[in-house]
Amino acid sequence: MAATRADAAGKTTLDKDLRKIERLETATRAVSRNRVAVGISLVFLAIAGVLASSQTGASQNALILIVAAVIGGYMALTIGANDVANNVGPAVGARALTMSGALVIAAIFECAGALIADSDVVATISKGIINPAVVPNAETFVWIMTSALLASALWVHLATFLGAPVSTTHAIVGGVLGAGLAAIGTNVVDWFVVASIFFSWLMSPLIGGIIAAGLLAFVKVNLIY
Amino acid sequence: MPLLVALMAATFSAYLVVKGLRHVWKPGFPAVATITILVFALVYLVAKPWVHSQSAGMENRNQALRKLFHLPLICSAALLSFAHGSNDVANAVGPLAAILNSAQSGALASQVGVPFWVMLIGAVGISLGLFLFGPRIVRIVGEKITKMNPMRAFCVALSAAVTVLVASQLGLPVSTTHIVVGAVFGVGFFREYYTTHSRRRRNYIRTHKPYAHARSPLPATPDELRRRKLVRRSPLPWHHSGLGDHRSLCRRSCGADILLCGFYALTIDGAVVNGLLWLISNLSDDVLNLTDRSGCTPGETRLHVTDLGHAEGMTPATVMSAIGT
Repeated sequence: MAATRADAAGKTTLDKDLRKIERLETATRAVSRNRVAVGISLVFLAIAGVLASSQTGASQNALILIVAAVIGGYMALTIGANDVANNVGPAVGARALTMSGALVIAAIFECAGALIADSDVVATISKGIINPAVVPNAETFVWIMTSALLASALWVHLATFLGAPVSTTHAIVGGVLGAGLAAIGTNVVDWFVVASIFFSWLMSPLIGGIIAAGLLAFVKVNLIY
Repeated sequence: MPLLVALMAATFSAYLVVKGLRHVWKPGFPAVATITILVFALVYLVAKPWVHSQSAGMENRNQALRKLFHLPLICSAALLSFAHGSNDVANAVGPLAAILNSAQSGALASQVGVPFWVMLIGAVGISLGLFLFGPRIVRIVGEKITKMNPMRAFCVALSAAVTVLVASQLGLPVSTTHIVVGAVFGVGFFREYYTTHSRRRRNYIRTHKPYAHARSPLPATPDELRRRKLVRRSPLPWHHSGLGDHRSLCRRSCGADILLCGFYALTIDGAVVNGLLWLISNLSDDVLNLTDRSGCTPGETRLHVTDLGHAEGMTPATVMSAIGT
């Protein structure tokens, strides 16, 4: 029955078998590639921990710092897996870039942006949302930040697993905010900063949309048709 | 037409260089303005011959334009990556820097800057995550959510990059995801408006009938046209259940889904964080007990950690000035 159908489609049984083997091979490769990826990321996390320990020296809080560095590295990995897709996704979708080319370009410029640009946003997340001066002791502050980091990393990981492009920014800001509220209370949160962040979340997609529409209008009116 | 493409490339490159350099130098406004104009002129001069050579023998047709937009699109994607790196690396590094600042000795805590190695973990981590696990989501964003042509993708990437860069300049953590989605919707709404309001466009549709392959025998309404173009298929797995005729609804709802996901992220995170914090506080008590027992004088550690919050000298005023609002 199967043979006759294959003959009708102009294929021999050999072809079908070969295709099956090929599919098996690609599947094996895909699975092993996944393992390699997980392995490499574990190595990276280990390196992050070692780097942290070498940089901090033998201080009393070295263990906490190493753990924090590893969780931070994990968060960075999930951000890379989920969030960077927005930057190059359209270019890949429009067939202007191949997947590998897009990955290389994105990685280079992502690093450049992170290292060259100054860290105003880092200051906002680390000190702006929760006022460290109000936190009773630094220990609590460390645990707030660690749990926020771990929670948002897990959330972004889950979202990536489901294939949903989510906002890592919302995850981390929500994490820091929630941890601060849970650990101490409403007085620790700098509500003005939170309000301005929320306002920027409302406005930025609108502004992005308006600019994009304006650019497309320019192109359409002047160039196309 | 080459003139106008050159103009686009020039504005875009001016943005790239000025925004990029502004983070390094922090020059005053006149300096920025001069650099902008200079770069604009320079890139214009370079881009004009390029566009001329590229468009030699091309007709003013859509297909040719798409090819012409490939390089600007790649550049804008790179710019968007740069903007994203400047803004979103903070998501991973911000809490880490905070932990570092408060956990280390007071001498380091007074230092406002973030150590280079911390930024390096963030930057390398993001790149590595992209390389190892990125392609799947890139495919989802690039192919499944929207069908993009180079022109539209260019507009989306450029506008998102500009918005994100301005936000990082202000120290605001914004969501690149949402800005891109906003830009995609902006493009979609503009196209809807344009399709219904431009006579030239209507004539074009009438004569060329590019949508004649549509499944429905009825002439496609602008709304249906927009839906078909704007959002192709829901990226989320729970929309792939075979519910027959929810195809077009899915397209519209997926944008909303992504927005909703962001707010879920907030609420779920709150819940997860509560659990984690409870767990960690129990754990940390254990750890403290252990250190107490191991002979390390607890008073010393206490003093060491409690002083830090104040040693940093962070008052709300300094926080505000740091953010620049």
